Amino acid sequence: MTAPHSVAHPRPLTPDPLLRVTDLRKYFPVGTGLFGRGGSSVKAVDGVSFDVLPGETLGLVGESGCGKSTTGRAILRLIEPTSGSVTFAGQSVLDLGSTALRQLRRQMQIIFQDPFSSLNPRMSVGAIVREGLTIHRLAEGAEADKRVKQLLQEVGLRPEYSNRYPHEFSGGQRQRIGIARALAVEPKFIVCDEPVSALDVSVQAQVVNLLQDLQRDRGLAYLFIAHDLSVVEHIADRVAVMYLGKVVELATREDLYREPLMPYTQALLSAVPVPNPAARRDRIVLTGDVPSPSNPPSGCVFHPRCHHPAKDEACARIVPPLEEKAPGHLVACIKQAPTTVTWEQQQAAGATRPPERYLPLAALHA
Amino acid sequence: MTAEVWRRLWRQRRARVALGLLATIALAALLAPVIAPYDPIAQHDIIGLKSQAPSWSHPFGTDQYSRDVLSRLMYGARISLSVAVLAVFLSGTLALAWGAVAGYFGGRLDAVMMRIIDGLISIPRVLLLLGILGVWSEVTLPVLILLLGGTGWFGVSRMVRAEVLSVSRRDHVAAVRALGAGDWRILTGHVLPNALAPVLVAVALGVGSLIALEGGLSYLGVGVRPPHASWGNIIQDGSMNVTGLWWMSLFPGLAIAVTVLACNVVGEALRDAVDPRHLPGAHD
Repeated sequence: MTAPHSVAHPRPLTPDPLLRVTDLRKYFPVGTGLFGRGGSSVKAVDGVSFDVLPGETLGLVGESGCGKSTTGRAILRLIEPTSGSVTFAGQSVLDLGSTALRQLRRQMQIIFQDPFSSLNPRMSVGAIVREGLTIHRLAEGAEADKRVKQLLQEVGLRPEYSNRYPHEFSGGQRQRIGIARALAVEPKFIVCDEPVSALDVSVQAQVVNLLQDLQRDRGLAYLFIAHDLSVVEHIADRVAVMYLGKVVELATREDLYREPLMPYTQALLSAVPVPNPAARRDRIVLTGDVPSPSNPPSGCVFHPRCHHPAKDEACARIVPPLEEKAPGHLVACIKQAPTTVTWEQQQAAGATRPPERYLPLAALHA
Repeated sequence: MTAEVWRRLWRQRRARVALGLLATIALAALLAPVIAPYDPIAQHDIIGLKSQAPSWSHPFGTDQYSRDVLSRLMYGARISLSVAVLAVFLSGTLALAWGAVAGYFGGRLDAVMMRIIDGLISIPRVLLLLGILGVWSEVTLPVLILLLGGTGWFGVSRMVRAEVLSVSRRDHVAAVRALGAGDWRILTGHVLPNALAPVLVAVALGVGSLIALEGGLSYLGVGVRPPHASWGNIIQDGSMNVTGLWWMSLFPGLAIAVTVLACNVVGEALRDAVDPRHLPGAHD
């Protein structure tokens, strides 16, 4: 059995990450008085840690308001984090001065959810895509025009569109423009902040496929923020699940979707629609609402809504550390017994269904 | 102002008409020494030619000192227009700078800057101006412009600040910041162009209201001092007998009304030209 990881700084599982986020926090002050004192705060991001490897996609899922977008923006310092550390390619992002930060931003980009507010309505598409080239002096004049046209082609838009304005495009095309803008500075890592959530399903698939093609061609790493679990299952290599500002489970896609260990993830996955009307499924219906992040529950933030059979008063007392409960599978639940045996090893040993301690969905309803 | 914006402005008929009117008035003012029929200050015949109704030799009549009203109107336009335009330019610049800094940088700086505006805005402008101008007997035109411009930007700066605040939070601004742009580039290249529309409208409206304000102050005898003509003090000269000397109120009044209206139309057309979404089917 592996040693349990420390509470405050769970050691990442990966040896050589491109991005390492450690204990990241962002508290927004609320209800401040006239002079900014005496207010409480909303714990939008409350101690989040994870790694992103070069060329991989880390999915970040959770309900609206769980802090996933804030996490993405805090990593890029579009929002200044309250505390924590972010290391990108060996550089400590949160300690950089403004000049060094602007240099580093060439390597870390973002794609937004809203295809309407994410493009400057007064700039032509060409000017939007060109902006990054100008800022980092990557190309100018005819050379820049050529690069812009190449980028538009790369994201599946006609180069002639560069003289048009954003309002002349559909939502999917606008997302492609936003992707081209991010690619212009040749980043290694892109935060995809719900890039397909505002799109029609058919267009979603096109944009997701584009992102996958670009990742393959350019070796990009993605932090793919989404609330749509099936989109994440399609694109992510590993998945982190957030609830109320905390990562409650982090595992490879295969492990997470086959065998979610955190009761919250189990409930989320049981809610994913299956395109088969005859399929019978056990659904875990969560009761109550997500508690207010300005006054989160004590102990495990999920405990008031938890359906775990072993739930007791300890859950309300102990803040569960994000620990490795199965190989490569981090879970924040004190009731989850750890194991060192992988599911593959168990299958090789003749197991036909996961052991009870994995708390599969069926067992919960037995 | 880019050539692109000018082209989109010129494509609107109302803008062409209003700009044409303004250009005509400005040209008449500019060329006043060449085309004005008389010397605006000359008293031609204080007995025989005083208070003449419009006629062929004096199309807009004469005042009680026998001066030609048309000539005074043309010369008055030089003063009224330049005072208004320069004062609005000054107050627009102040409003833009103040509001942009407060809205963009936010936080405590913003709070302090806006409380200052709250204080300034609570002083009634006309009373303030009347006080200063009434006490100060030797007000030169540059001082008048500074006073008018320096007291006219408080409300607009609030508008700029609100607009800058809201535009700064849009994703496309976050995108440029993420690209590595500095504050100056973000503010001037991405925030202000999107926050400018209400300012432009306010400026265009401001030219109109400043012409009216200057007229009012001159009418009260504290604006442009005689013997210089301004549209306001021509009306004032005729104010003792408005029905008898109706041409002395009507023609400068019309000049003020037409100019104000034209400024407003240009302001609105400009707003649409700056924002391509307002133009139907604009593809270029």
